[in-house]
Amino acid sequence: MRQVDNLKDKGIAVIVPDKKTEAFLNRPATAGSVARLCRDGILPSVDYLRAAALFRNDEKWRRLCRRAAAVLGELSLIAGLLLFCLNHSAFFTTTKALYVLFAVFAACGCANGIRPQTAGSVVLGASVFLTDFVFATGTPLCAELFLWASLQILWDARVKRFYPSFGVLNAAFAACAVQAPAAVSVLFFIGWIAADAALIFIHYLCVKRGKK
Amino acid sequence: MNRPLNLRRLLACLNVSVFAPELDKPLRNAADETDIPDKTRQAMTFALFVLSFGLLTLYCFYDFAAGERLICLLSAIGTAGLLFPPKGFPHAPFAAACAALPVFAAARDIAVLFGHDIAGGTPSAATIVLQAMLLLVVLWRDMEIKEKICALLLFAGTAGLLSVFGTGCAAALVLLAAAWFADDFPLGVCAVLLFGSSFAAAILNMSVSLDAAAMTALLSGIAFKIAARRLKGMN
Repeated sequence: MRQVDNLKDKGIAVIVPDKKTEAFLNRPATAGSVARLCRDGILPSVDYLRAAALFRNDEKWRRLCRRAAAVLGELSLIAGLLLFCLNHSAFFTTTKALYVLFAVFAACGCANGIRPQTAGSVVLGASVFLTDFVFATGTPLCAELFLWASLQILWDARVKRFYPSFGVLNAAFAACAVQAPAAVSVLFFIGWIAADAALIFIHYLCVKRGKK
Repeated sequence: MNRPLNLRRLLACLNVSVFAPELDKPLRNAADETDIPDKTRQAMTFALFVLSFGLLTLYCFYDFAAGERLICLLSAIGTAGLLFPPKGFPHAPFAAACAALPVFAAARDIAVLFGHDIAGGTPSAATIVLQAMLLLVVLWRDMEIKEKICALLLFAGTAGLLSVFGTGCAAALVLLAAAWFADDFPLGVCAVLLFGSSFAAAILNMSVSLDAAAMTALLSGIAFKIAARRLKGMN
């Protein structure tokens, strides 16, 4: 207020904001509120970007760009691999493809983290289906899914997180119900529920032991 | 802990005196309007305009050449309004209009992917270059020499994107830059989503062999991952 008094002494007309204007001026600066300052003619339009530079939360923007780049990167890599596989589909009818998949699976096993673990799960499933495709065994889909589920449980035991196993196991039971409706009985559903319950119990035990 | 910057301090930083007599009435008007729920009103206006421009984009596919010119005109005005909010106009319509061209370009890329034979793109490319130049000119006065070099490289990168991946990616990138400079976060999220969809459509639309497309996707993936690592390291 001393500054205001000094200006008044010099004969300069000064308006002191009232309480409502004070409350408005104490609001945090955001893109919307600063745009309103421009709209009402308080801030010159040419200064809007300068004002935005003063209150911009760079960390929030960096996080957005980092996440976008990471997701786009992963999707691009997966798309690249898929396109490559599509163009060389003949290769996937040979036993060499199985060796390649086993090598990739071994590499996934050597690495830690959620991504190698997920990639390992996908490679495991691909190996099961490819084995049937290469050797033309004619195994039904549900049997292949049960084989994948049992291998997946062993793979997930490594990190003590059984979510993918849960998905594959339920897919196997569902496929069984669709492929062989005659086999579906009360016992089948009891077995399905028991298998799920056993998996959830193992998961619970692992989580509990992990917390200790 | 740092206090958030309030409007008073912001105006002081920009040499605007709140005691100036000519600002008394505008300040009182602005203070009177604060009772209206700001975010809800802005979000509703933005949604309304996005819907309108979405419908306009759909209409444009019936008369593509005229529609493209209309969208380009609207998008250029939107960018200018976003970077220099004019006196007496609300902010949301400009933000929505700015996104019209990237939405249109992404829709065209996806339509081409599904077999529609749509030519054109020159007015879109010219508008993107105009928008990028507008950003460059606006920011030039406050830039240091290193920032100017970076901006020129970014401009060249946008031109490269235009020539390799088409207008969709470049339009989304310019929108992201405009949203960042204007600190419009929802618009930034829209730009990122549009960039992703345009990029995917562009790779699948490329008139090259599957191996070349796979290689482009893999190299892009590696470049994106390096960028993500660099951004993580900047914390």
